[in-house]
Amino acid sequence: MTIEKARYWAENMTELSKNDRLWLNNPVIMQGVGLAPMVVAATSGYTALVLAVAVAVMLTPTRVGGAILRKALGEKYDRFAVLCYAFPAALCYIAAYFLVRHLWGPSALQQVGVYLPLLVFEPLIIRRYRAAVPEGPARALRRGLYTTVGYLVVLLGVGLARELLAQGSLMDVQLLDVQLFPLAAQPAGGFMLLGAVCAAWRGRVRAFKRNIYQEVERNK
Amino acid sequence: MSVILKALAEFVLYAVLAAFAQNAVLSRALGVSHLVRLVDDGATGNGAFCLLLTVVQVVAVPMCWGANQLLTPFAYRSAVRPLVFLLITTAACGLVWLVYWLALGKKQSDDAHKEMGALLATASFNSCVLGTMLIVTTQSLTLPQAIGFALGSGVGYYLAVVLVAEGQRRLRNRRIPMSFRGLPITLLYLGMLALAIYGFTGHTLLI
Amino acid sequence: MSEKQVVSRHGSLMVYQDLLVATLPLLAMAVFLYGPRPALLWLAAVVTANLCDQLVAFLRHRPFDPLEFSNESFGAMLVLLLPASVSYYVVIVSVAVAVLVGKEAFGGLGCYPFHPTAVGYAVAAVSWPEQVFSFPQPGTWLPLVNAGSAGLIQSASYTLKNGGTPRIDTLNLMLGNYAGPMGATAVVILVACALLLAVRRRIQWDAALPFLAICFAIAWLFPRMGRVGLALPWVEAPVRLASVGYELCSGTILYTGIFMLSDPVILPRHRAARVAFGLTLGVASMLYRYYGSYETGVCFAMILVGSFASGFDRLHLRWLDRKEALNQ
Repeated sequence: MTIEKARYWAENMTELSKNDRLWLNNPVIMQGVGLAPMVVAATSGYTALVLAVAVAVMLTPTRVGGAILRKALGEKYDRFAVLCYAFPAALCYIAAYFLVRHLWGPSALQQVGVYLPLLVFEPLIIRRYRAAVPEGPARALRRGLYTTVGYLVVLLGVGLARELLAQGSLMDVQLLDVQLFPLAAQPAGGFMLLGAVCAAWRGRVRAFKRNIYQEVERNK
Repeated sequence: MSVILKALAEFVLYAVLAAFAQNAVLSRALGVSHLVRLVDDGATGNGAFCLLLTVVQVVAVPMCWGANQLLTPFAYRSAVRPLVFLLITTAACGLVWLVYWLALGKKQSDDAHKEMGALLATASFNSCVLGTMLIVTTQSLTLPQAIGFALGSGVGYYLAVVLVAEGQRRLRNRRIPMSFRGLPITLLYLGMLALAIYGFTGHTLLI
Repeated sequence: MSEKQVVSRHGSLMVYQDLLVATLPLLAMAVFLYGPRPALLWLAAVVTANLCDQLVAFLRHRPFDPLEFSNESFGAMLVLLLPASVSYYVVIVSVAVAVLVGKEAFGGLGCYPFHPTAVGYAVAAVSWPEQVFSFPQPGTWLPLVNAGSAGLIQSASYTLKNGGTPRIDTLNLMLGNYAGPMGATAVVILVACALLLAVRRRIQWDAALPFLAICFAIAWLFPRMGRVGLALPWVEAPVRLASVGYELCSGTILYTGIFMLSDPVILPRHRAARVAFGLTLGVASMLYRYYGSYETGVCFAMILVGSFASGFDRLHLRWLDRKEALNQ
């Protein structure tokens, strides 16, 4: 990294971190949302992909819909805050349901169980209702897309990792004859693996930030 | 009489099952995002939040059970179920708020009302509540079983909060590596508790 | 506060050294019964634990203390809970999880909320139940490399769980000459290890005795063998006595009371709280044994009850405050 870029990062670290929903401010790793589907249902690449498609269909439209409704309600928003996001989420879920069913059939819906409809109340999708500062639809669209990408990266990564550890396969393609860590297929293993991934990711982010500040200090 | 006793026995059995062996948080990770934040915010309000969650669940579940019976002939009931349950949760939340207002409303200040409203909204529109309603309907429980499950689920959520809050002294230990502090160590802690519960049930629960 | 200061608040660091040494007689008996394979498994566990210790020291930029044996003692205690036929891979993974996740992630020595051995065993039991709950016949010398699954049988705990009555004579029960975890079956040697640890003042009697007593009481009052039902406690005494013998000796109850409850870190700090902890752990362990899915549940019970260890201290202090207030 060049010294100018390092200085820019050091001066704007808080703002840049907040806006980086993939790496520095990932919704799962840094904010701890969207944990339930990841821990229980995303036990393989396939189920993670099903959930990923549903999140992609639901998150951004819900956020944009919520932003529009908030603007429309004005001062009355506080009374209906959660409903402004939950209703669009429930409507988007209908689209997600039919899309998943069209792509993979009813068996996919069975495999993810209640964790697909559970996305309607999932903080990942609707927590924006608690924000004190409203956002415009354009900003909601941008932030929604970034958050979706950040969540999907972790969801697919964890799903594939759990499948590899528990079954020795990736997307149902058998790679290993042994089961490296069968517990990874259980919720207990999901919690532990996600905890380990969070720790490693946060450690890497801390190291990145430390290097930036050290680089700037060195070149003062 | 025997029908009533049988219903009561089923109610108690499913309540105990939902509180322990099928704990909402430890076996199904329902409401875990809220739990992690709840515990981080400190012990105050934990009891109130969990009580509201339980009450809303117990009020909502009979309604969702009834609604599910009405939805049964509908081919795409699974697609509209969350929307219907959202309406039911809204109604249950409104009912609880009405009871609160009638009982305590006039004695509280505006700030207390606002705080109560925010807490009730979070406790009602929570993945634990929706998850419980979905499980009750997808696993075709009878009404006494469903109400017992709803009660037990709320109690189980509170137990999980107590266990994690109890572990906070160790989870806030300064000797935990920096990368593990906060969410990562809480997830590992929950994982171990989930492992202990799994040791009792011995099988993956139907999701 | 340094690691040594933290542990000294709970007890001495030497406890781990003593626990490690106390596993050696049990290991010797296992080698006698199954050949040299148990020794290699024990070595694999201890070396894995040591390497994990060194790895953590490197990652946390701390000097590695070669005379601190906590990780090695956890590894040694864990491997003795497993069958002699278990694969090296299972031992290595479960020890690594016990040390890295069960202990180091929570801050290391003196900071872990759950006994690392219990965590490692629980992970192994859930991940590889077919290996952890199948045992070789004593007297069969196992191959060093691949023990395979031929000739493996179920333990007495499994028989009890399925409503049967084990048929092990008293001498074999005492000497560990029956299928079971390689370090948890030889009662005579366990008692000798207990004496060794007692002389070294390592056994936490205020937790271990209530734990064993309540397990004894439950096994006596509600035996799983024979058709005792809800008869009065003195009816069918020989059956009840046999039940106590099998429940305490065939699983890991005795082993837990002697070894795992000697770790002061996981216990509450006040005496009365420790007694309550021991009683609760005993009840939970027997509930797991009777109604849980696995034939031995004490490690799972230890994780569950261990999460509330500080709660026992708080309740005890609250009770003391109330008592003081009443007296004033």
